[in-house]
Amino acid sequence: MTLYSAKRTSSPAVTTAVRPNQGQAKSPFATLQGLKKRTYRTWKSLYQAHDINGADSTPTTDEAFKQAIRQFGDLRKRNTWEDAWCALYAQLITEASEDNVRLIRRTFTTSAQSEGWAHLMPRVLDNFLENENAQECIKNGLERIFLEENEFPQELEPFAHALASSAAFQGDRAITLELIAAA
Amino acid sequence: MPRKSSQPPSDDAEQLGLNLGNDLSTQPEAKVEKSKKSSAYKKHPGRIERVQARNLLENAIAAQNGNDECIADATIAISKTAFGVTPRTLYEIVGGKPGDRDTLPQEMQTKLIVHELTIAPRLDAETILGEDQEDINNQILHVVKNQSQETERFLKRHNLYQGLAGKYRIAQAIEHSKFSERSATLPDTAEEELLD
Repeated sequence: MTLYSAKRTSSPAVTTAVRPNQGQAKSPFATLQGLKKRTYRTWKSLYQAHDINGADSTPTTDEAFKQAIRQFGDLRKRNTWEDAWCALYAQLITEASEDNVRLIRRTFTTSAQSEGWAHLMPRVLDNFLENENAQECIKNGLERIFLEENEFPQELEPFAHALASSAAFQGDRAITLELIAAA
Repeated sequence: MPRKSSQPPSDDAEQLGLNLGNDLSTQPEAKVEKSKKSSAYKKHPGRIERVQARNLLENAIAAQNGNDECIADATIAISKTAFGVTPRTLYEIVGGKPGDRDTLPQEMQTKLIVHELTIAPRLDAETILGEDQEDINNQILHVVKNQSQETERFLKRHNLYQGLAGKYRIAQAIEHSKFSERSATLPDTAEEELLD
């Protein structure tokens, strides 16, 4: 089995047919400002408190939001914001979990690549697995993928690696790794 | 039947898989494999329609440049309008498998399909031009919420799929359990349903 990083460069890129003009360069995760904005948006999503005009409050003026982020650490540090976003986003996809197959194939694979948070995906997955029923969601999703595909899809390799190395994963790590090797 | 007898028996009849009575043993093997693969779809009636409706909505959001978070927001918004709770809470209350929509009651699935099928064309007809991703997402969500509420009003006016919140005791489940922390308020639709 080759290393994942070496394999990824050789394999064809994950299709981003939906938004071909939005590449890594425009990723909001590249800058701290973008990361803060994205975190604020996710935090608002969780409480379904979007304002259509948008300009009323910003991540730097919303005190309630800043208070919520402070539990993750120093607001001046990038790591704090990454932690905060990962935790909030994991919570959001837990609330919106509707289709487990979609969760694995789109959210954790295609979208993570196209939206530029592939490097944060293992942390989001970690946070997601800590929720109750999350283990069941992942198990159910993988079962369904196998039912439809009859083999392990190549593009799910980063997800499977993240799953096998996640501390919160209660499933059988050995089986997960075997599946990757078989692909 | 004069019409049938006038036609000479042809080889086409065998290719159509008609039981002619003489060669029952020659069943094609490929057919067995095919049915095995699609068993997941056959298990749940209406699954294909549901997946199609869902894809229609997701593609409509993606066509307007909404990202994955926007789809998650829309999912929560629809579920809140239709049933008054987020999908996660809904599955827990109804007793379905988390994240497996096949385990929701059939009438709830149909109601969600109605919402999705009305929102998708409405989104397609909109012209959404945003400054950045957040702006685009907000505008898409605005359309989704508006159309979802409109659909809900239509269903209520024609007395379709009503009383689901009462039937599955969603409000009671929220009041008397852990769900109260997560879903603070019920929208008007679900509360009104209970009064009926």
